[in-house]
Formats: sequence, structure tokens, C-alpha cells
Amino acid sequence: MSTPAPRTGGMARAAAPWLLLLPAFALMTYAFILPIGSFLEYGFYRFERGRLIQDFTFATYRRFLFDPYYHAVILDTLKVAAIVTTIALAVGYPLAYGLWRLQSPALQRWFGLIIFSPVLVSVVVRSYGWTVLLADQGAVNWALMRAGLIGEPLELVYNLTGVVISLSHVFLPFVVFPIYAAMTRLDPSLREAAMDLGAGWWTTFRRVTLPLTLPGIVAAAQIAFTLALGALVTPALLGGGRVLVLPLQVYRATSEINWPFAAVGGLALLLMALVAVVLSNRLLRYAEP
Amino acid sequence: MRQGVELEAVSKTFRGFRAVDGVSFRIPEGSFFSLLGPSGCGKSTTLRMLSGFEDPDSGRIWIGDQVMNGVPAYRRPTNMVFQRWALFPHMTAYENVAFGPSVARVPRADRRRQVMEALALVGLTDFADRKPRQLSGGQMQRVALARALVNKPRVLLLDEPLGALDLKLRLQMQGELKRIQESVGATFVYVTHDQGEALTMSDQVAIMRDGRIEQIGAPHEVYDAPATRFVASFLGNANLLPVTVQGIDGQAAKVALGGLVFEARVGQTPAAGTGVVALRYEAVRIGAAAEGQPVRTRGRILEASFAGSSVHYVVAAEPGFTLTVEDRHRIDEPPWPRGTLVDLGWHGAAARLFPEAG
Repeated sequence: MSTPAPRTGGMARAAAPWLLLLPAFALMTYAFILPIGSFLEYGFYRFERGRLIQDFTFATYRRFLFDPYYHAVILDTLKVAAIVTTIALAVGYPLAYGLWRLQSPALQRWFGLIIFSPVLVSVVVRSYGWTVLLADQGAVNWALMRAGLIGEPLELVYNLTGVVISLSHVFLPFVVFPIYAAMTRLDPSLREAAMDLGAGWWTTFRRVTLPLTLPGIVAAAQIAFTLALGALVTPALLGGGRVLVLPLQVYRATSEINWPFAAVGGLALLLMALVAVVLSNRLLRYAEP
Repeated sequence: MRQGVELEAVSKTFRGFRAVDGVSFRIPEGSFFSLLGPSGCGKSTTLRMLSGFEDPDSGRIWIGDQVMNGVPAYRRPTNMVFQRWALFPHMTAYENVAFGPSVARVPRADRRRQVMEALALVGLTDFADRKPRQLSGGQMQRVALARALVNKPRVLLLDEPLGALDLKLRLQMQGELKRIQESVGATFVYVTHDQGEALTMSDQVAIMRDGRIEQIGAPHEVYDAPATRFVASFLGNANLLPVTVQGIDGQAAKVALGGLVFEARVGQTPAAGTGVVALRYEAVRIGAAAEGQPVRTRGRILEASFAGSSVHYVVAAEPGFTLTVEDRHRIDEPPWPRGTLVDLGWHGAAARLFPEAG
């Protein structure tokens, strides 16, 4: 390097990342930032007797914040998301661990594909599939009754249970793969070091594997939680009108052209997701070595 | 009553590859023992069988008077220093060292004392609260050593622990490892491909190749009296010169190297009338120093390379062979230029006869 790089070359190099970011940035502006602006605007309008009134009022916000019905809706939405996240993690972590410990790469690929398969099926087909499986005369109840575990069929569908089962199922890959990725990044000699220092399987897991895969768990929880917050089709088809999560309310509002309510509900969903993301990023900072 | 470490005909095969092939040796209690060999020679597998990460397919491993076969790593009186140290990245140096004692449920007060003692032994008392990523390579190395030694293992296993350090630090750590080994009195089993490390620190060195032990002995023994052609060429730098064997009488062999006939030591008896003689670069005297050596000849310098403390000459000897000579560099004596005719000489005992192959 005897001669310094020409100035223009340096500038081009500095500009290159921005040029590459430009298309994504333009798309985001058009499809996300501008709509949020109009959300904000519509949120201040009024909706009365089936008509939209271009006003400036906090009426919709007030109703949303102080009406006990909407409190219940928000709480339900958060509850569904929390339960789904917990179940998906509880099922997904051992699954990821098992996948990681498999000795054969061929088996790993096949199991990976099976875990990924829920995403390959359309949400409508999957939801109807679950209604068939979980119905009173469905396969699950039939098996449980034949096994003598229950006398009466369980109410597994058209309620919270059905929604939770189906959502946990479809979010499984989004939970398994971040955790699995965190596990494959682990230096295998760390587990050996723990065992060498006298730790059995459980101590090694609790004190080495689990803390070091925490970033994967947090990432997985974040994905599952935000996806569950926004789920619409599954609660609509499997909730039986008893699971009144916020996306359903927003959907209903849009079909009634109640734009102010749809806007406020949408903003509330966005805010909840943002809080979840910020919280998990906080957690990630603690989890980092 | 058995003492130390003992391997009896230990073998290990991985998917048809015989990594360790019927290895037997004994390590005296409290000694510094090195397994030395090129990569893939089975030294690491042997170490992993001692630690309990691998179990032998056949043969027996003894530590003291107990057979270790089937005993898991966490129940063995061994601790390991890993190649890249394998420190727990989410724990401080202190927590790393305290891992063993806390798993063993050592009471809190004792634990603290033991950990601080171990950190003091490796000179890291001031770094107890640092995470591994805040430590240098040499410091991580020391934490790994303290983390293993705090458990007072009967046998400490070291898997090329200095490989990732730079040369200066490596030399310094060699001295320190030896000092620590003498002060704690544990048996150290040290795996390395670096002969300098093995020769410097060890009481005994085992040279391995293709899953077998080629030779075991004190460092000067294996260096001066290699038992096989492989050991002769692996340790240090040796000329391997093809010779015809004119007669063997016990340890002495009469060999002809081109037109030069001399007496060499027998390393391993060759089957046919031909063999190779291993002659270390530094065993050949050149110039005035060749005078008075039992074996004498002359040659012309083909190449001279200056390496600071020494000079290497490639010389075409008059009887019709080429050999490399390492000469000590003396101040104000520039290396001989190419083409110089020089005297060469060596002691017959420095030349060792081996079969051509193997």
C-alpha cells in the first residue's frame, strides 16, 4: 500500500452500503411508515352510526383505554400469546436439544424437515385439520377415551385450548430453529469440560448448556410471542367466537369500515409487539457472555 | 499395589479407523509424561480414553489400583486442560475455577480459599472477576490450568494447551508448567506435536505414530538413541543416507556410504544388505572441527543458509552423497561461501542404522 486510495474510491465504498439499503428503505417507508402515519390520522376520526366522521377527537382512544370490554380483549390477546409462547418453548427446547444431540446428520435433516412442515401447510387447511382432530368425536378424544383416561370428551376446540394447540404447533419451527442454532454454536468441549470437572448430565445442562443457549431461547420467545399477538385466522376458525383476541376485533372493525377503531387496535398491537421486542433485547444483553 | 497410570493393550477404532492400536505403557506416579507425535497418531485419543470421554474397545486402563474402563469422566480422578481451554464464557475466571469445587459441594468458605489458592498458583489473583473474553490467551490458559488443578486431580491431562499461544509465551509457560507440576506433585500427561515442548518438560516421552508407540524414554534417551527410523527423523533434523551393510556385530554395523566405509550403531537391524543411516545435522563437524573425528571425508558446499545461532550447509561429499550439516555460528566468522571445499567428520556412534522402509 504505497499510494493512498483515491478519494472518490473511498467515497464510493462508504456509499455502497447505503445504496444497497435503499430499496428496503423505500419499501419500508411506503408500506410501513406512511401507513402508520395514516393510522395515527384515522385514530382521531370518529365513527358514528356506520359513518366515518373526519374529526379530531380522542373518543376512540378513550373507549379503547377505559372500556372494560377492551381491557378483557387486550388481556386475552396477551394471555393467548404468553401461553402459546410458553408451550412452544416447553415443547421446542427439548426438541431442539434432541435434534442437536442426534449423531446422524441425515436424521437431523429429516427431523428438521418434519419440524418445519407445519409452515408448509396453509393456515386455513391446518386450522380445519385441527378442528377435525380435536372435535368431540375426533381422533384425540377418541384415543383418550379408548385409553380410559377420560369418560366424557374434552372440549378441545372452539375455545382457547384449540387456538393454543394450533398456534403452538405452527410456531414450533420458529422456536426450534433459533434454539437449535444457539446449540450448534456451542463449543462441544464446554460440555466435556463440565463433565471433566465432575458435573453429571443435569448439572452440565443447568449450568452450562442452558445459560449459553439463553440467547436462542429469548430470540425464539420473541418470535413466537409477536407472531401469536398478530394471529387472526387460527383464533377465528378454532376459537368458536369465544377467543376475542385483538386482531379479530380489528378485522371486524375493518369489515364495518370502522377505520378509527381498526387504527387504534392496530397501533395497540404494534405497541405490544414493540414492548415484547424491547424487553427481550434487554434480556439478551444479560444473557450475553 | 499399583501406582501411577497404566495402559494394557489399549485399542480404539472409529468407523474402521484404528486410532489407537494395542498401546501399553506405564507412567510413574507424580511424573511428567508426554505423548508426542504428528497429528492423527492417536495421542489425543489416548488422552481422551484417560479422561473418560472415550472408552477403549479393548485393553485396560488403570489409574492407581483401579480399572477406569467404563467409569464416566465425572467420576475419574483426572482433570483436563483443553486444547482451546474450553473456559465457560458466561462465567468469570473465579466462577470457572469454582465450578469443580461447587459441583463437588465443597463448603463455601473452603471453596473460596481453594479457588484463590489455585488462582494464586497460576498468578491470576487480580483477574478473578474477569470474563474469559476480557483475558489474553496466556491468561485464559492459566485459568484453564487453575480450573483443573483446584480439584487436586491425581492425574492432570493436557491436550496441546500451549498450541494457541505465541512462541515467547509458549516458552515461558513451559517453564511454569514444569514448576507447577513439581509443586503440586500430580502426574501430568501432556499431549503435543511440538517436540521442543515434550523434550523440555517431560520426565518421559512416548513417541506415537499410526496408533502405536514407537519409543518411550527420557528426552535425551529418545533423542540420542532413537529406536526406529521414524523417531530418528521425527525428533530433531537428521540426514537419512542410504547405505549398504557390510556386516553387523552386536551393536556395531559396518556400512558403506558411497565410497566411504565406517562403523555405525545399530538402531534397528535391517533385513536385507541395505539400510539407511540417520545422522543428525548437528552431529557432523565441518572445517577445522572435523579434525580428529573417527569418520572423515571432504565435500563441497552447495548451499549455505544463515539462521542466527547456527548455519546450515548442504554439502556434496566426495564419496558421492549429499548431506546437511548444522554448524554453530561463531562471532565474526561469516558462513563459508558456496563452492568451498571443506573437511567433514563425525563420530560413528552418532550414525544409527535402520531398515530402509518404516
